[in-house]
Amino acid sequence: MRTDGGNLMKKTVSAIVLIVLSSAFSLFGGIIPDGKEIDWQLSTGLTFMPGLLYADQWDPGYSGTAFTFLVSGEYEKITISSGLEAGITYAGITLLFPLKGSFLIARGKSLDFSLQAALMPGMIMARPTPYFLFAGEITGELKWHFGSRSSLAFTVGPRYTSSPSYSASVAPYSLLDIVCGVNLVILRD
Amino acid sequence: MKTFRFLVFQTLILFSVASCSYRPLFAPDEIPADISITEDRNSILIEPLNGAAADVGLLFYPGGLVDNHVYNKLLSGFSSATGVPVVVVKMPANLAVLDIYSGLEIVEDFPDTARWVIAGHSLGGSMAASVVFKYPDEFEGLIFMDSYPANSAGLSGWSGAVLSLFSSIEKISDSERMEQTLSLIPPATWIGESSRVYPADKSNYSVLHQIDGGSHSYFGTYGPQDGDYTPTITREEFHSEVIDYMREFFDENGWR
Repeated sequence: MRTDGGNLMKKTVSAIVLIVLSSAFSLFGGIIPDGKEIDWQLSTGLTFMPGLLYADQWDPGYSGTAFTFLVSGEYEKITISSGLEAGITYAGITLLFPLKGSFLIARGKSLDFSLQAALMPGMIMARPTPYFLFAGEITGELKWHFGSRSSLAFTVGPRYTSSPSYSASVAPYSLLDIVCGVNLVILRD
Repeated sequence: MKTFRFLVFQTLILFSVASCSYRPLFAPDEIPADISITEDRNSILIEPLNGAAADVGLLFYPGGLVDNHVYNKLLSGFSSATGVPVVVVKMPANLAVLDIYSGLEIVEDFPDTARWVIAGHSLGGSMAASVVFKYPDEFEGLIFMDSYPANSAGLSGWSGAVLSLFSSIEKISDSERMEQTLSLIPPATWIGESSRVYPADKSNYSVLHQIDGGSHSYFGTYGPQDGDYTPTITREEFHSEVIDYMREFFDENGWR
């Protein structure tokens, strides 16, 4: 006899994706004055996570790598982004749903510099049920425009990640990383 | 563009859901009281409390897509019974195939431990065999748990000793698979309750043992795993038998 499992996970993931994305874009839509133009962007890339602390102890090493996919709306100096970050970590596969705010500090002919802050609820993918996970980060972003509709964005900054439920039931899980990201940004039609 | 965005989201989510790891299913008080478990970013160390520095250690590679901690209960039972420290290698995404040789770096953190035996469950066992294949002099023994070497990492000529444990009769019922497995490990002898006889020459040999009524996930404390067989014995009975055969394997080879 064989056993099966798994539908609960799919429903949980789907529900969280819908809630986070709809919340993010509803919020952004609500604060933009009527008639103003928003530049919509898609960005995709990799985030590398060299770490400094593990379980609140000094333990330098590598925490993981993540694939990111973000949808952003840019209005004057403010950009709001939301999307998905799938990470490969030592606790397993993680999914984070970033809600990121970015403020333009300096704009050059082909280079922009912004400061970003992000809150990222998510989960460590586990069965039969995932572990809740959250992260927060503050990063600097240097964006190089190499075409009329595309640019490369490099980010670096500290990120704190923690999973209270994993810590309570398995092992302490909190990380302080210095994340380094590289993303291809495409301006939407 | 909407189609592209939809596809990327779906791909990421499906990939993540398909890559879920099994959670451990035991309480902290199920770990023997005489055992200490400490961990860092890369490994979990399971050792007797106040134990003397050990001459031999067990390096363990977890199975694929199970949390790195699901073996703590079995391995702490083994460490408690033998005094041998165990180091579980944490794998990225809980997939040993993504960092096959990381165990070798962890071993370097234990300069007082001169001899090492490597073990692995399922995918972890196959990757452990690949480590031995590439660095045959680093290990004196290898323990498979429902596992076998990859075809590209045959160990039939390896001078070390191999113990291969199978969780149930179903795991050895594929005669073609078993024939292939036997061709990839040193000359093998089946052992069981009625015949626990090891070869006199303690090099280049394998002993195989099949447990009656277990299941694949019983090597850890998780599950039931998709596709697993329904066990007819308890997990505690299963662990007791596994620890017994592992202890005997260590004794027969003079590792403790």
